[in-house]
Amino acid sequence: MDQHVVARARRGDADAFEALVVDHHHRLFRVAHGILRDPHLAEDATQQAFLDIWREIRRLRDPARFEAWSYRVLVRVCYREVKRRPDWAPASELSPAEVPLAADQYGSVAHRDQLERGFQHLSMDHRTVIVLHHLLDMTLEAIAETLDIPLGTAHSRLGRAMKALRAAMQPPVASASQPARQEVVR
Amino acid sequence: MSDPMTPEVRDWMKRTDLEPPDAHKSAREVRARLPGVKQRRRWWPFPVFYREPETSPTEHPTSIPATNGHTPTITGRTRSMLSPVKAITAGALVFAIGGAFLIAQPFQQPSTVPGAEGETTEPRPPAIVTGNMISWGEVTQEATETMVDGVDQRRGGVREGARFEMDDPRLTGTVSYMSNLDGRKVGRTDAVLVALGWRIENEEGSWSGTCPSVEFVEPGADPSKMEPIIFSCFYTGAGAYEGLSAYLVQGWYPELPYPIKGLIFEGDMPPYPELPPAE
Repeated sequence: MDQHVVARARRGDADAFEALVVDHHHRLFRVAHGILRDPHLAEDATQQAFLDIWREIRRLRDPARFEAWSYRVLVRVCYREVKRRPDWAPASELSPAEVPLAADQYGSVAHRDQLERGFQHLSMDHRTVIVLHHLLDMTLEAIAETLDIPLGTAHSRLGRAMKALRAAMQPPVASASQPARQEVVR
Repeated sequence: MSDPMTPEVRDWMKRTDLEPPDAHKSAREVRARLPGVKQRRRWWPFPVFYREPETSPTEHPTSIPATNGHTPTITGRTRSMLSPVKAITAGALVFAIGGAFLIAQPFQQPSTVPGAEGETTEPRPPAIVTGNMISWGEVTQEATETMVDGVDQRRGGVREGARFEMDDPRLTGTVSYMSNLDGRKVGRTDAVLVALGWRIENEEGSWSGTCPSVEFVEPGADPSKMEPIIFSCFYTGAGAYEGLSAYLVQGWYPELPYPIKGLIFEGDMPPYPELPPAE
């Protein structure tokens, strides 16, 4: 069904495109929220991604690849949204005090909170690769294709992202306020 | 990926109590903004291998009359992808574009690049410049990492949005740089050969340059007491800085700002001398 709707949207059919937005909104919103960790920012990014998709959809050669292509558009929009807001800081919405989840409902709430806080210290590159792999279950090949990067880069980026997440979950130390110079060079 | 944290991260990612926004409401809002967004045309003007389905084959199968009383349904290709008319049109278009370029740029046309032959420009005096690199920028591309014969090779790491603040506005601007590194273990020390490619940009023009250096990292040493890395970088100007060069010595100390000193001059570096004869 989708391919025909995509094909109609490519010909400028706004009704078809609206149907496409309804069908794919939840999917893209989940990813935007996964990366940005802020529901309002995620909704803005999702809507902007759909506008970018409308603008570029004629350049999509194969409608069967719409889903993968839409992730790529969305990720670009997320990067742009963050760049546009230099003061951007993701909402810390999962602190145990604010979200009254029982510990036995989600395992350790404290650990979830630790993950949330650690994740918020990650760069956009690292967040994106973690979301694509762990939320969408994308293979490294699919991630490489979605982000338009070599397979080796996708592999090393995911490894580093997990390493960075683990490090970010550790209690802060005084010297971590400024990155070590070798991190800047590398 | 066999990271021990994978199950926890996966579980945390997928379990969410977040209420997604109303998709229909969002779709209406997106649709209301569509008239202000013009659809871009496909950049490739010729037929592509994929052909759009015009109608759903299940909804409206294409029927053709048959002489034997059957009505076969065509679900595959119904026309040639490249007809002779299209081929001739494409050929004519290629020649037309080629011709237009030749007419627009006849041979022996004087160049309009500032400082190029055929144009007289005022000589620009050399200037000593000092300043600082005041920010590192953000990683926009992670380096790929491979271990080759004991050498830890990292290639293609990119940072963008760094900044040079110099006392000469020509070298003040946003900076991006790409790094290639080879790390070797020498005893306890990590000796890292660094090759950087730089680009400095401002509204008037840009500079691009390269420089090598070496960094020695002692594991466990106090980062605030590390030796500086010294880069000697040669830049070539473009845009308003066409014809100019810059030689900058850039010191990377443990903390920002990193001091820079150098010279802007016309022309090129002196040629490297020949080696004295071996005895």
